[in-house]
Amino acid sequence: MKLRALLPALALAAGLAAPMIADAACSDPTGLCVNSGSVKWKSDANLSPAQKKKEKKLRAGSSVLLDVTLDGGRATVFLDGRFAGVAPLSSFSIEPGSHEIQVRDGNRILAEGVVTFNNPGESVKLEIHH
Amino acid sequence: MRSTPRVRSTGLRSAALALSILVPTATLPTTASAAPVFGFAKSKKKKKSKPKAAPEPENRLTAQEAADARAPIQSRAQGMLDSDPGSAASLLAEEARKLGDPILFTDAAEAYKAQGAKAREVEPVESGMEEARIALDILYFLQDPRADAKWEIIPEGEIPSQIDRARNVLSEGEALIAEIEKEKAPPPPPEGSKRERTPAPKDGRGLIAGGSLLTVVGAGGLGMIGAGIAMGVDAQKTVEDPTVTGDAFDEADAKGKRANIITYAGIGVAAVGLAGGIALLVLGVKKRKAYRADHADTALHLTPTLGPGLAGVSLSGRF
Repeated sequence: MKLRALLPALALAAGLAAPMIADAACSDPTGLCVNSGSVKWKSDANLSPAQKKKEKKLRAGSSVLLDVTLDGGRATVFLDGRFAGVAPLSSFSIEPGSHEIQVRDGNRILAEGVVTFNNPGESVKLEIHH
Repeated sequence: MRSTPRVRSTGLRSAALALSILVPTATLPTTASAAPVFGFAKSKKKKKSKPKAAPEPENRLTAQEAADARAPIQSRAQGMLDSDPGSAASLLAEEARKLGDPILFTDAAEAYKAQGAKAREVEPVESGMEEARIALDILYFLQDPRADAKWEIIPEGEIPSQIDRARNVLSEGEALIAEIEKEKAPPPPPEGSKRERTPAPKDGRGLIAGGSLLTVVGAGGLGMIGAGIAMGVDAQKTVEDPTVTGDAFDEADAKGKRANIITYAGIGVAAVGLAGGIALLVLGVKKRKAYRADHADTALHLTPTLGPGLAGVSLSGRF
């Protein structure tokens, strides 16, 4: 009886929670959508060396596999101040923790900020909207 | 008494021991003071030997290191560029992606453009333009404060000239694509074939022509009737002649029958030809009149005019 009573509540909670996450991620003004609940995205943020040091333990974990997709057009992805690759990126290996990201098409910056991968070994998808 | 020297000897031994300790410490050079002679020195060594976390690698790339990595790739590609620009371009593009080197990206762009120019194909030129765009992305990023200062993939002073170089590849690529597409466009049809036959005006000329032809056929039918009647009359006369008998009679009889056939056929041909022909002619003439009425509004008419005491030409028309 208890289980039966709980099921609709659980379904309702799941149904309400899922679109909220997606909506919040995709309404980012810089056009970067995070397709993963465990990843934090902060647009227009910078990462200080002190913050990096704080995450030493987290960074020691197994790498995160990052996919970057575009919903149209073209772009190049830069991570932590260096060239990472041309979008779409597939299974790009990166340490867990916080990383600066910038996605640009020539002079135009499509998205930039700090993305934090909290779960070592996870696969994360970032979607860039032109 | 024996005990006194013993006492003395013990005192000497103690003094000798004290001296033996003091002399080496006093005479040792100051630099060797940290040598593991005393206990505290030993403990210092132990501290040093403790496993210490290795310092993180600096992960710095200098412009010189980047140039050193780039040079052999450029050299290999240069060797292939004349014979096989496509392979040279692929090599440069692949290595450019590994190093994130905008110079190699632009080199790849130029090699792809050369391949397109050689093969007169648009696709390699477009690939080259994409490589040039990636080079520009990196070059603009290097001017951004987010770029890592330790990542000197090219000397800072070279960035503007490399931007110009990549932009040139883009503009030249666009011009080359336009040129190739122009070459591949189907040739325009010759001037003569463009001329369309102007449709004949619907002024009843077809009806008049058809009617005339049928009337001629009808007239031919009338001729057949006439010929048939003439032949029939002649044959009739022969048959009615009492002196004509035997073969001559039979021949005249057959001739009469043929004359009848010709007459009947002539009647049919004349009836169809004349009736159809005249009908078509009437229709054609009506149509022509209507057409002329519609199209002669603005026409000018030059009419000779003659009268008593008058001779000349009158010009009339509607405007």
